[in-house]
Parts: sequence; structure tokens; C-alpha cells
Amino acid sequence: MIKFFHVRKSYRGDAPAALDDVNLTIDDGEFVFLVGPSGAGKSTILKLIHMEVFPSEGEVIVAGFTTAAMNRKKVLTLRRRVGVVFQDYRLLGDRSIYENVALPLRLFGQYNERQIAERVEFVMNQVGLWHKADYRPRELSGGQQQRIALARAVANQPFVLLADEPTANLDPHTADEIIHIIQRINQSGTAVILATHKMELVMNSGERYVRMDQGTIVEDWVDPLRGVRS
Amino acid sequence: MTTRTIRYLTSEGVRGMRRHRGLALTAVVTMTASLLVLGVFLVTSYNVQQVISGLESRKEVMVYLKDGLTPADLKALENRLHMHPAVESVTFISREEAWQEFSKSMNVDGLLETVGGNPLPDAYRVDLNPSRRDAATITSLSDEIRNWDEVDEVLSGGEWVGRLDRFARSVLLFTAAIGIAVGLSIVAIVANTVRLTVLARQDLIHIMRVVGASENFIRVPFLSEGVLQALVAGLLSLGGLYLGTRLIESRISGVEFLSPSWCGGFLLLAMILGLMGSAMSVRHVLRQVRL
Repeated sequence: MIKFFHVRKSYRGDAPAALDDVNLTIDDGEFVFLVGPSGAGKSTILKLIHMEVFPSEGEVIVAGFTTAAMNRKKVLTLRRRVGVVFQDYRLLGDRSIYENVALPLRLFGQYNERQIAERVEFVMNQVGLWHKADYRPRELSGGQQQRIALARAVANQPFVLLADEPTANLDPHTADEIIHIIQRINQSGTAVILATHKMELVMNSGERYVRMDQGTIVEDWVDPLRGVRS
Repeated sequence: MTTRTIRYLTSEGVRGMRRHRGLALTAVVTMTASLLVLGVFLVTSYNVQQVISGLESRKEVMVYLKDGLTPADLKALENRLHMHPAVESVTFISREEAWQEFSKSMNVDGLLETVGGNPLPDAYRVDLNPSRRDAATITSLSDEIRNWDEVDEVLSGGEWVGRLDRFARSVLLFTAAIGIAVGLSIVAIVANTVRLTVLARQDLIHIMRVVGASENFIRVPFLSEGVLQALVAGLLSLGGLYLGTRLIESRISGVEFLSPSWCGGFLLLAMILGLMGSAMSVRHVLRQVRL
């Protein structure tokens, strides 16, 4: 579970707050769109969940970790349980697709080669690109690269996937494909928080969305059949 | 950190060198040149040490005896010499043996008649313990023996050995000064190369941070890269030094290459310098590259 209690975040003392008195609860396994124009505070929400930044006021609790009592070690433990994808994919061009996806699995030494191979094959099949395992990122299209970034993000079986404008650089058809893959990941039990400025992407999905503007939540919509949160 | 992880991180260091071949090559070539300069002074210093420590005058003291000593006097004297901790062995050379040796070296007929009898005294050749062949010991031993009643004269290379020791120390000090200068330059070379490599791989650092890799974990590939570059440069410069020494040896006999322990120390020093350079640089750059 992720909870924001009266969170205010200011990057500079003299600048307007990026977030102001935000209260938000996201349950395990939930799918939530964060939607709003540039500068609305969507990315700051994701950074707070990932504990890349900390609130200026208030508290954020992520899977039992609270920003009020974090240290470097706890931040690393949390990050190992959170998957992240970015608008620009951020794949490593100097190694194969397989190695890109295997990277988070190799980092901590708890898996042997066979286990890594099995896991990489599983997540790459989830995004439909196992047959591209030996390719280099530059040999793939933008949509395919984002699918690989998704595979890497879920390789470590995170409890939540944070996606920051994952479809911003993609055409509508490819963007839909990406959203469907993310929904499939969500159906397997991983919570998803997807930040986007594209309202049309949200409207047809039927998923909960949190609309933001100038650092505040202006609407928190969920399908009436599932219950309104706030 | 498991063995598997260490293996992975080391291979990332090798991969980093391969990926930035140009950078790595520049660093290795520059470091090799610097290490060669240090190596030349080391080989010189090593050979000066070898020559000086191997000198005959350093190994022995000649004790010339007064005339008319009885066999009992000689036995007592020999025992006293043996009791000195700096003495390894004592050899008696009778005046007849000494004359034979002398006349053989002069190669002149009728020499005995010309000089009117054998003028040489009996003597003891005192061989010194290898660990006690310093100038101070040689001088103090000679002075002590010279005061004994049975002894007429003592000859040793004490003062000369002292001068040579001072010369060897100067060479060693000079080599150490060169070593410090070269060491600093190697640290700077590695620091700059690794800094460029780290900056060129911000994407890797970023992804590692995103997935929760610790700062130490992120550092290791860059550190191993710095150490590997220094090791390669160390091996290349040792190879160059070896060839150079063999070439000089063919013209000046007796010139020796560094002993295996000196070579090991040289490589270890190069690796420590590589580690220092990369550690400095990585710490500095990681502070600038934020998530």
C-alpha cells in the first residue's frame, strides 16, 4: 500500500511548491493513472514513491517504509521492490536486449545463470519480444524498446510499477499496445502508477485516474462499480 | 557480496575497458611510459645495491699478525675471532702461503733473494656474516681487533664501504623521489580516464541507482577498470624493462633484471596507484551524477 499524508514538496524555498497538501492512497495491485499537464506534480509523486526525493512536509508510506524514518539502506531495499520505466526507455546501448533485462537480476547475486535465463525468458515473453533477445536496443523500434524497458522493470517482481510518460514518444497505436501490456502486468498482481499528460489515454481505459494541476489533486476518479475513493 | 557478484562486477570492468578502448588505450600507454621511467630507476637502484652488497671488501677483513706467535696463541686468537657475532668463518693464511700467492701474482724469478727473505706476516682472513656487512660493523670490528696484542695490522674496506653505502642510499632516495612523482602522475592519469569513463556511462549508473544498487556496487566496476589498466601498464612496462635490461646486459655483463619479489612489488604499487586514481575520480563524479 502507498499513502500520502498532507504531502508538500518544494524543490526550492522561494519557488512555488511542486506538490501542496496531497493526500492519496493506492492499494496493493491497483492501477492508477496520474494525469495532468506538465508541471502538475505527477513526476514528483513518482519520485516520492521511489524515495528519490523526500517531502518538505507530511509523510509518504510505501510498502511499510515511511519517509519519516528512512536511511540509505532502507531506500535501496525499497527500490529493489519498485519497477520504473521512463519516457526515453533508458536501455543500455552497449549490450544485448537479454543483458539489459537481466541487469537488475545480476546486480544482487541471488540468482544463478539458469534462474536468470528462466526469468528473462518469462518477462520477455510477457512483452512478446523473446525472439529479439540477441538484438541491440538500437535495432528495435521505440515501442519495442519501451516493451523491453517494461520487461526490465518487472524482472525483479516489483510490488509496484512506476511509469513516467511511457507512451509520450510513441504513436497512438503503439501507445495502446504499451498500455495493454502494462494492464496485463497489473493483472498479474503488480500495482501500476502511470503518469501521463494524455487524457485520451485515460478516458477510454476504465481505470482509476488522479487528475492533478499545479501540485494539487483536482479529481480522483474510479469506476463507480469499484467505489469512489475521494 | 557473493563470488558471483564479484565476478560480474569485475567482468563489467573488463567490459568497460573494451567499450572505451580508445580511452583505455591512452591511459595504458601513458601509464606504461610513466612506469617505465620509474622502472629504469628501480633497475639502476637494484643493480647498484647488488654490486655494492656483493663486493669482496664488504665480505672480509684481513688480520695481519705479529711475528713469533705460538700455535696456542694462534688457537686462542682464532677462538676469540669466532666468538664475534659478525664473524661467519676464519681462515688462517701462513706467511709461506701468502708469499706463494704473492710471487705467483708477480711472476718474477728470484724475487725472494732480491727482497732478502719473506717479509709477509701470518694472517687470518675473517669472512663476515652476510647480515653484518654494513660499514659501521666492519669499522668497529676492525678497530676492536686492531687493539689486540697479537695483531699487527687490520685491513678492511670499512670507509670505502661507507662511501658506497651512502652512494647507494642516494640512488635509492632519488629513485623514491622519482617514484613519488611518477606515482602522482599515474594517480592523475587514472583519475582523469576513469572520470571520462564514468561520465560516459551515466546511463548505467542511473539504471543501477533506479534498481537499488548501492554506491559501492556502482563503484566496483570503475575501480576494477582502474586497477586492470594499471596492471596491464605494469606488465607492459616490466616487459619493456626486461628487454631493455637484456639488451644492456649483452654489452655490460653483470647487469641484472629485478628479482621476482621486486617485480611483484612493482606490479602491486602500480595496482594500488590505479585503485587510488579511480577511487578518487569515481567518488567525485558519483556525487555529481544524481538519480
